[in-house]
Amino acid sequence: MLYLDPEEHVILEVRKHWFVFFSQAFFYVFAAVAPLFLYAGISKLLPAMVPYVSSVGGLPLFLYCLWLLLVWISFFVQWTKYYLQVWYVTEKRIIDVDQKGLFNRTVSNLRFDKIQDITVEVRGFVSTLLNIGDIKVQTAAEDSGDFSMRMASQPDKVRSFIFSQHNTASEKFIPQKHVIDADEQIKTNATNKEKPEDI
Amino acid sequence: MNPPQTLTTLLQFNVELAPWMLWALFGLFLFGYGILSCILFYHWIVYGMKSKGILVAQFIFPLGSAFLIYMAFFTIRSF
Repeated sequence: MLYLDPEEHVILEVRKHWFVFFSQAFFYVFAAVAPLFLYAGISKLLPAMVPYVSSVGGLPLFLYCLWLLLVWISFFVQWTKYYLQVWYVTEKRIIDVDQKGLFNRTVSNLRFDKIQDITVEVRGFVSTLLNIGDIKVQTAAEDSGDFSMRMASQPDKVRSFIFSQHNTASEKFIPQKHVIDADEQIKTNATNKEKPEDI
Repeated sequence: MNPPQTLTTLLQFNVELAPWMLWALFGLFLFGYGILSCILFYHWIVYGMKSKGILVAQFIFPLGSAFLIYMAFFTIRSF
């Protein structure tokens, strides 16, 4: 579950390019039809085996249905991983959801004021043609690593969007934050003066 | 009740198949399939954020599963 602040909305979802999912889905299509080719191959190469297999009624078809169910659910596990591995860009931050498996999920936040730079890298013929690239957001925070998404869709648009949000957030929040910090600092200093030192 | 049938391979390894064995296999498979389906639906509902792709999956997955389970059920009945 993703928890947003009361006045916070998701304004952009960044995912890997559909081609990444398509190339994975192709494997499942191959896995689904492979037994048919295998059966056809056995029929041609080892015709003596066919009567044995066909003598057991609907068994081959039954096993094929089970195989298709297995492929079907595996395909949707992949689908889920593809759709749940996402960057949500809100008015305040980037939320990076890293869905590595069904039981392996990491959620990290990056506020816009922590962003130092965004690098986009497009490599190869297919990536250039389909506008696929790696996006790397470098952060100012020492304790958190850089944010990155490989094979993202339309990386340049994402970068310019994040930069525009970064600018908007800077105009809105940073001056206000400084005032609060300064006030708090004055209060803290006053309190410290009144407090006796711990022995 | 159908009599057990024999599955013979090229290695002359004989296995007597009774319908109850296939029903047991089918039941066990459906049990695992049901658990995994529940996990998928949990992810879609809790983490899906009403994404379009997730909503499509919520619609297509049960339809395809129901069709394939019906096919498996139909073939096992004719065994």
